[in-house]
Amino acid sequence: MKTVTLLLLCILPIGATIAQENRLVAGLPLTVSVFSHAVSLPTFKGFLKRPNFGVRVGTEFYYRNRPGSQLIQTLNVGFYHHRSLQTGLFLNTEFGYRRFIGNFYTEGFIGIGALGLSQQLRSYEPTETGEFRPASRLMVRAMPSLSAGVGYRFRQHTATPVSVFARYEVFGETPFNNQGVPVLPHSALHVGTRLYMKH
Amino acid sequence: MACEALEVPQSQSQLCAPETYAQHPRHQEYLAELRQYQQKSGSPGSIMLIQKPGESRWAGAVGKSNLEYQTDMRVCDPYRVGSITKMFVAVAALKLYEQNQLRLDDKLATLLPQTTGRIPQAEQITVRHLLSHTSGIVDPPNESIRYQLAIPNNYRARFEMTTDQLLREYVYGKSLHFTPGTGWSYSNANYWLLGQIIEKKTGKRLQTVLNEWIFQPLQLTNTYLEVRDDRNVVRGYADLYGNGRLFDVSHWDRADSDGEADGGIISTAADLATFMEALFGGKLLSESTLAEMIKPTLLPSCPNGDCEYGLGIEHWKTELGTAYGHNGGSVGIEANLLYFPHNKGVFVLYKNNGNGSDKSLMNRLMK
Repeated sequence: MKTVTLLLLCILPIGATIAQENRLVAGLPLTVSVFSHAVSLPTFKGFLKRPNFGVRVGTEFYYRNRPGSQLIQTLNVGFYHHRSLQTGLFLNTEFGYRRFIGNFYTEGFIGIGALGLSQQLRSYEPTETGEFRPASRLMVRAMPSLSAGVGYRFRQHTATPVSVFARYEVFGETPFNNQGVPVLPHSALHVGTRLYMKH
Repeated sequence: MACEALEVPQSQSQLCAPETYAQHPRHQEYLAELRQYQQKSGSPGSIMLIQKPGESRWAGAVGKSNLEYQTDMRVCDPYRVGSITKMFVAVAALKLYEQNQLRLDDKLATLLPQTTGRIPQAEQITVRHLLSHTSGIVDPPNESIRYQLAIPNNYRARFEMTTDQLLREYVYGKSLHFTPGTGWSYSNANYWLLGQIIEKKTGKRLQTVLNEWIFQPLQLTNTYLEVRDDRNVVRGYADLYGNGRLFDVSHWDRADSDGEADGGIISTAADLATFMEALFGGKLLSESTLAEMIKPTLLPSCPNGDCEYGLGIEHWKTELGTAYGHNGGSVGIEANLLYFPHNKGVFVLYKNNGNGSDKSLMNRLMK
């Protein structure tokens, strides 16, 4: 419940932003990325060996939208399947900054989300008598995230620019509590595109 | 996108013919203590064995060995002993020492030349340093988050890693915690290296050496190190999210330890007790070698100057005096094996939950 409340608090400012941005852009951008996923500290190693795949779809709103930079709020849904650990379905929002250098850009985001999980490992919950019975595979966790990326924008001066990008994301699965570690770290390497839907 | 086969297998057969200890005069008392331990530690199941003069051996089991099939734990169920394995490996190394094939001050760089330039000061690290955890070598299973995460991320890849690969990935090139011999820091990597030294000296796989030198002579028929698909091994569980829900992490424990010199042995409470009885009864090592094994490591850097560790053996300061043995732990299990010199008693305690536990019941039971 705390997770959902936190998520709503993050999303609430977006309503005002939508109205503001509708005057500036041709429409809402649609961002689609596929990503390779691993349970790891930040590294590129695990992505190349036996990758686990995911997909993310989202849009973004602009607190500030200038030719050289953007202050951004994103809203995304995504899915990943880690073959030996879990399948995740998430809803998250991120606050970020994008800086353009010609057609190229760099960007960074910080976010929070809700992560619904279906665990591959069997689990059991205690009963009142101290025994254990099979538990549901499903659980919901909070999903803090940090990411950074680079991209290239085509059709820069049109109403419908298209971007391609690569982004490295680290997100946490919390609460987690094994050997005192409160967050299980995940990494995702995204490649994707962003395009604008006309009104 | 394929799914891994993470199914929980059922025990294959009734290999275990449980002895009954119900006639033991203290059966009810011991069983009540064991039940209390199991419940307080939140474990699905637990096994305890008590052997001391004046009464016959007692063993008991409570709870479940496999929650998926609600299989009752039995006193003769085989389980992962974790780092208790180090005692067996130390005995093998000390048998080489008795055979004059290995000296305790032999240098790592001489014994395993491939470590030269890869492990700092390998020319100064001795066999004694490895056995007593005074080498300063890093301990990936306890210190490296990258190591710990690699198992849930891809347990199959970890399962397939050789000791050489483990050393290359997590040990070589890492700084020592201290100059060899000047400090104490527990490290599983010390025993990965000792396993390699034993294999090189004998020309045999470590599992074969342990089999020929310890398991067979003592008739430990339910004890082995080699990798087997043994579905009778007790399942291991862990509360990964701190909410009381236990996950079956046997795949992870298996990937992390099976076949390894730091914690790969599968055994039973009875076999462990027999091993301990034989070790302290002089059936495995000479009196002087055993004295060398249990001699405490004394260093100014340890609390009160006593590191409470010998050569592959822990010193437990109990209310009954110093007990010798080892604890074993992994994500899903905790095992303990102790010898009490004051009454030549042997205490075995196991549970299939990887959390820590209060083991003070031994003070009451081993008097």
